[in-house]
Amino acid sequence: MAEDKKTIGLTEANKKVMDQLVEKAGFGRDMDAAKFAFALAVNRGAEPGQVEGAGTIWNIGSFDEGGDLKALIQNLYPSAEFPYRALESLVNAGFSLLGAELKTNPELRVEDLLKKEAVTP
Amino acid sequence: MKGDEELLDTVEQIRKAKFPDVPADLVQKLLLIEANYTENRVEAYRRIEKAIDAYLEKQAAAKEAGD
Amino acid sequence: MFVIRSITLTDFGPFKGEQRIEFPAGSGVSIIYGENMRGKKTLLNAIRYALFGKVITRGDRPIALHQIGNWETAKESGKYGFKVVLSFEHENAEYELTREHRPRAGVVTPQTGVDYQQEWFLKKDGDVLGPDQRDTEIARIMPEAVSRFFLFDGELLQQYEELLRDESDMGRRIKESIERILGVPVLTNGRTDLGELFKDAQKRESKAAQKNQKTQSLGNQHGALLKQRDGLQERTDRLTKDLEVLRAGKTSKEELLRKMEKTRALLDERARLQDEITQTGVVIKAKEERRRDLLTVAWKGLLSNRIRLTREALERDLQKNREIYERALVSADIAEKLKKALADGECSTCGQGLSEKAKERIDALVKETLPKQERAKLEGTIQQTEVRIAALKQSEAAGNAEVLEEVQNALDDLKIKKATAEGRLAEIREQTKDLDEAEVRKLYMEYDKMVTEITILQEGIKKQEESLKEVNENIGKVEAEMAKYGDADLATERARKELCDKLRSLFAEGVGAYRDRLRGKVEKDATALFVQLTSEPEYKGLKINESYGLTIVHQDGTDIPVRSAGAEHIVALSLMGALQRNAPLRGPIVMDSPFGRLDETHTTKVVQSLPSMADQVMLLVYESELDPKQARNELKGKLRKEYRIERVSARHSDLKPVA
Repeated sequence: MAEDKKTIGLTEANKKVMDQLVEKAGFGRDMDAAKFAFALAVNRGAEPGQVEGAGTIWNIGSFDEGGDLKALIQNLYPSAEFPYRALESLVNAGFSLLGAELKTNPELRVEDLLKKEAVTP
Repeated sequence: MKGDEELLDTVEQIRKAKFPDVPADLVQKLLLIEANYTENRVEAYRRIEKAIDAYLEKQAAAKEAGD
Repeated sequence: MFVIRSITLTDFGPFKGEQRIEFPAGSGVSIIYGENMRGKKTLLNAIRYALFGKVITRGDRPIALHQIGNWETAKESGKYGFKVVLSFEHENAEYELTREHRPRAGVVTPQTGVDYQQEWFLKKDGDVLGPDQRDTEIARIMPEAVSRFFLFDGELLQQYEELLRDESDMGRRIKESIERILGVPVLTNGRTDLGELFKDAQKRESKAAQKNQKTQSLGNQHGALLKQRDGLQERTDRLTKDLEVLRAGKTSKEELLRKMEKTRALLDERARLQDEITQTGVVIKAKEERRRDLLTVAWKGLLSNRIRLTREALERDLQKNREIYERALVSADIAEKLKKALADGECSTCGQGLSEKAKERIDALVKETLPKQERAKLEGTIQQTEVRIAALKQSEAAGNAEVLEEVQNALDDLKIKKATAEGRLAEIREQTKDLDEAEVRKLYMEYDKMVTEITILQEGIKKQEESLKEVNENIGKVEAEMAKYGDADLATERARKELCDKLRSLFAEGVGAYRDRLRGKVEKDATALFVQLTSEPEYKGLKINESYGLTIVHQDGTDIPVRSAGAEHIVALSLMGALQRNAPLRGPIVMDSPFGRLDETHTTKVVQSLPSMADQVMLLVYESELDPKQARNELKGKLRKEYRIERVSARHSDLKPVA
């Protein structure tokens, strides 16, 4: 493929994690949960990669209105050829991380996670 | 009967102290009537009246005899 | 004193056919043993039936008499109805009281009460008394109003507790019964009767005065005043009665309102809670929205560190490149001048010629400067970096973890608050679900109205009493005038009047004095009995109130306000014993379930005290309540007779003497 993605999707497993999070954590939209997952992955030092089996969920136009996310990814990962592809992989990576967190702590609170992430350098 | 005695005694003490000119036997008679006819008020009243009348008649007769 | 000799039952309750209990002469205790539902209470009711034509069940409720007859007899032989014959002795006379219920003539299978007729008669020393005499005798020997102190149902103890509650209806009735048994009505009735006789004597005095010319006008005046007084008295009495009714009504309304107080408070709380829940719901919604908004940008907070680091790195690069660029710009300018100097062979500034060494140095410097292409590229890089930094700044956001946590904690608290309020509201809704709120309001209004009416009545009565006082004073004045005349008839009536007046005053004073004396004696005797019966060493005795209610007093002088059913039992028995000792009216004590809630220690004490409580005592017990061996041991020679009620079938019991 010679062009960037126009949609963002999740694997089945990651979608389940997202649904769980949205229900428990109180995210208004699943998109907000997805951005949260992306941020977590970045904060934990994940690198963009390939995603297998991701179904389409969001349109880039609605996910990254204004293109700030694209600009951000280009800044954080200047070597990434396709920013939205990178975004998709980071979102999925983030949900995998969140899935693991939920497994150890089913009553996970967003606030606690934020505190934990702030402390860890 | 102790209970009766109590009642009689109470009244007698008051009679002696405050109403000495009221005859003791009349008072006793009246108390007995009331005790026997507590449930029959009409009969009690009739007999009380009769007892008082009888006493007053006796007094009047005694006074006349004395005159 | 009333002493029962025998009770003969015919088809009464489970006692099929004719059955008899005999009581030997002499004082003592007789015991009738029977398991539950065999007919113990029926025996108590048999005596009640014979005396008063009534049968009652638990809670003092009357039983329809047509249901009393023995079922088996009716079924087997078609014979309906029942009879009780009570033989007793009183004041050296032998009595036989017979009462029976038979189907009316022509009724073969009676169904209801109207199908029966009751007949009863009383024999005194063998002669049947006339109906009026019969009624008078029974009323004199055992008035129904005081029967509760002789026919004692251990299960109706709470009645005695009512005596401690001043204005209760039941308390008032029991107080009247107690005073009745103690003989107080002898004085109160006497006071009333003599009062009437006094008034009657005054009227006769009037008439006598009117007959005499000299005293006619005074007599007329007197008569008129008496009439006026009677009118006023009648009105006062009527108002007083109305006031009593209103007061009783007020008391029962107060009782209702006391219950309503809770309801009203509940209703207020309900409204408050509904408000609170609504408000809290609104705040929760707002906070949840805020939380959602915070979560929408929470991801930025997560990245802020990373973004900051990247931005700082870029800023450092930018700084470095800018410096290089600045230097490059300056170099370019100098390089141009140096090139010209090389070409010209002289310094472009000062015009001096250049040496070979200088030419070599200048040449080296020129070779060091950045070529134009390179400079342009650097410029591009700088611009790019600036754009990147700007973009990063845009995405940089302070972490909002603390705010989020604050909002979440607030939400948790609010949700708990709301849930608690909802729980409480549900409770209140349950409690008030059958409530008619209009009724509640109506009750409050009626109560207020009553209070106003009572005040008006009280004022009215006061006015009447003032008028009465005035009239009585006037009557006194007229009577004093009449006394000046020496008319014989007038004198007779005056003497009568004065005697009645004195007797009335005597009886009136006697009421108060006798009551005080009695209360003192009842308290003393009840205390003596109580101390014998109780096993609690710290109980000093009993204290009596105006209504003959008894409170237990601790040895430190304080009252024991609340007591157990067992203690209630003992206090009731103490009262009964004290009344028996102080009453002009004496009779047997027949006790059903006398030991009720008492433990073994107290049961023993009660059994030991029985012979001192009354001359004749009859106990109706079941064996686990009172062990026959224990009874025999405790009572010894005072145990006169034992019977057992034996089961033949569910509807047939037999009374058998214990050998």
